[in-house]
Amino acid sequence: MKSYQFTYQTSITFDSKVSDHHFKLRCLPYRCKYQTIEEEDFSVSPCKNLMRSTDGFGNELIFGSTCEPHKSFTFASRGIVQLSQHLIVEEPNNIFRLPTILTEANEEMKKFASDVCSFETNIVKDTLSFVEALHERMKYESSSTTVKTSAIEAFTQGKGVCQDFSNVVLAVLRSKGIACRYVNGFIPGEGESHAWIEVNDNGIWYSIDPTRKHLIESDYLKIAQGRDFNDCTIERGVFIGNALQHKNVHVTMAEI
Amino acid sequence: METLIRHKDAVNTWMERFGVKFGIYKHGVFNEQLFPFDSVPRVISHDEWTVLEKGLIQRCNALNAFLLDIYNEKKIIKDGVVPSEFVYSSKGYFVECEGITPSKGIFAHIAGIDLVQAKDGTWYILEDNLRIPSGASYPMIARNITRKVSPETFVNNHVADNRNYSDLLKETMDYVNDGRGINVILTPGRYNSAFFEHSYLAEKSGAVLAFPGDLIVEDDMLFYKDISGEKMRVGAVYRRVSDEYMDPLTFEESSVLGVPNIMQIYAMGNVAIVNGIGNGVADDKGIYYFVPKMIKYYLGEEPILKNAPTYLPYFEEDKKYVLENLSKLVIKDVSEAGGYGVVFGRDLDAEHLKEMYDLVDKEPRRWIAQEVIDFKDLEIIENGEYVERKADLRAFVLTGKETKVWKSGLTRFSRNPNSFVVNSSQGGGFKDTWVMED
Repeated sequence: MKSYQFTYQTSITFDSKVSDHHFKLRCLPYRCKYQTIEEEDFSVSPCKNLMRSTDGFGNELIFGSTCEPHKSFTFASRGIVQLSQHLIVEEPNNIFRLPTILTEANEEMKKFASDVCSFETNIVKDTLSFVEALHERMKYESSSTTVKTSAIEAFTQGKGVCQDFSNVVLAVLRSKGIACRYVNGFIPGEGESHAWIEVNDNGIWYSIDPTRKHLIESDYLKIAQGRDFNDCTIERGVFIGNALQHKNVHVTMAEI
Repeated sequence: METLIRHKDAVNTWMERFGVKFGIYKHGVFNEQLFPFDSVPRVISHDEWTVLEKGLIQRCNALNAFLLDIYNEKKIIKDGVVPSEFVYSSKGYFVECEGITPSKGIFAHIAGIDLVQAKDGTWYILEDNLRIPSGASYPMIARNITRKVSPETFVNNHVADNRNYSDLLKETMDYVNDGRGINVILTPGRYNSAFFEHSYLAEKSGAVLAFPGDLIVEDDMLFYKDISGEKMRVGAVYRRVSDEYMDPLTFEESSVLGVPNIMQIYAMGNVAIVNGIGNGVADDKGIYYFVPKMIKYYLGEEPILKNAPTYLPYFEEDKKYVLENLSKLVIKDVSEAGGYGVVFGRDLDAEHLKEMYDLVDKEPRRWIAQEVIDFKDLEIIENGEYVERKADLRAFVLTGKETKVWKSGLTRFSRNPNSFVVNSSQGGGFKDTWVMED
């Protein structure tokens, strides 16, 4: 078992003042058996009205509002978490078997998948083989997609980032009726947040990184889980104002 | 009753003065029109009502049990009574409501159950409306006016007073509010088709009529801000805003009609939302088929009221029957409401019948099919003559400490002699509904 320290910060700047800014954030570690939280802290600025709860997927939420006009908005979290083997014994909720708009598969994807494996005997092994084959077909290219890009679109254009690789794998698994979910979180290093998936085989959830093509052991920090990206968004906000926004995200995670 | 009929025009004039209106969007243009009133009431005998009342209470209790189960334990799915895909693929199911137990465990506080009576006198349930059923204000105000115009009618006939609807509403709101704060009615605003009703019910039930922007979430609670900036805690929101617009941070992001983050404090149990969020999963036209099964499952009782004979093309056997008998059935799109998406097989020519056939064949989950019920027509007066028209009845069932049926209802009729569709959004009219005391 290893301990990791993480820091997360997002700064949003607006080119003119906005007000009545309401937000909902998911930037605290997910509570589960393989993540023991030793320290945790967060801040939102400017904000006088801050609250906490969890959503239907068990994700930690920070929410609130800032009425005063402002041109910048920053939220940050940090903490120390002990991580162990990514395995959870749990019968999956059937909603994880159904495709969402972002995780639908078309005939081409289904055909591509069935040429690789059957997903019948060993789901985890087959998922990894599929991921391997997918990289022959799709290449990683930063900024090649947006958060609204669906699995079909990413697969068709043959490129994407971590969330697209995850969406495509989820879409294919769901087309076979296999329960699987989208995960958003941090990995050791410095940069932005990362996305991966969990797949349920015989009542056990396994974590797989479709971008880096491997079964996840223990050094991934899960922040949020859901059916797809939309259930896991780190930040959602509404405000009054007509402003262009610029967003800067910075994540660090290191073993201690 | 004759005196009442003589006063039909007087009643309609009064209603116009009171602003009893219904907004309709057609071709993207908003028009407010009067909801035409016909003075011949629908009369329901005391004995007939007793059965209806029992049946409606039973149905709504089962629907509430279903909603609580679906968003929590899901026993009915695990026991194989309702297939899970019907639940999860329903547009009315919201994963965001998973694990939520609303105040007092009630999801459907105000149910509008639509019924029709067949020629042989049997009542059939046509659909359940558990989201934001509208229409209670029309018979309330019509009764108020008819009593003024023709007081002797109500001396000679022992009709149950229906002007207590607002008391029932207040009772329900108070029960789930549980002393947390004030009651508010949240309206999307004056361009909503039922704005008249929102303001009328607020006035009558003593709730504050709140517009989007008047409500704010702070310190895990909901507050109403009045014009002076004074804040009052809200304990119950009777919202007339659709689920998907209720919280821009949880549902439709572009919504300006809702309250940001209200879902979080609703999930914590710090505010009651009337009706609950996610109720659409229980009034889905596909789930309708399973309601009699729910009654047996949750209550261990035989259903008192019948569903219209319904087929689910999702089941192979039903699909076969539906495809073979398409021309004599009514086909409904499960995701549509307000009389839209309803197709009568007999009105289709060969080409359209073929199109329908393919649609049902390709997407069986999207459709239900029902036998056409031979409606008992009701008399209305048109140009001084009695004519018969199709009509339905929307009964209002309110669940608070107890489940109660309002002794009246909205009887809507089709003004077009050839139409079976009676929805007010499709330009129908309405009648008063008399429930007799003896």
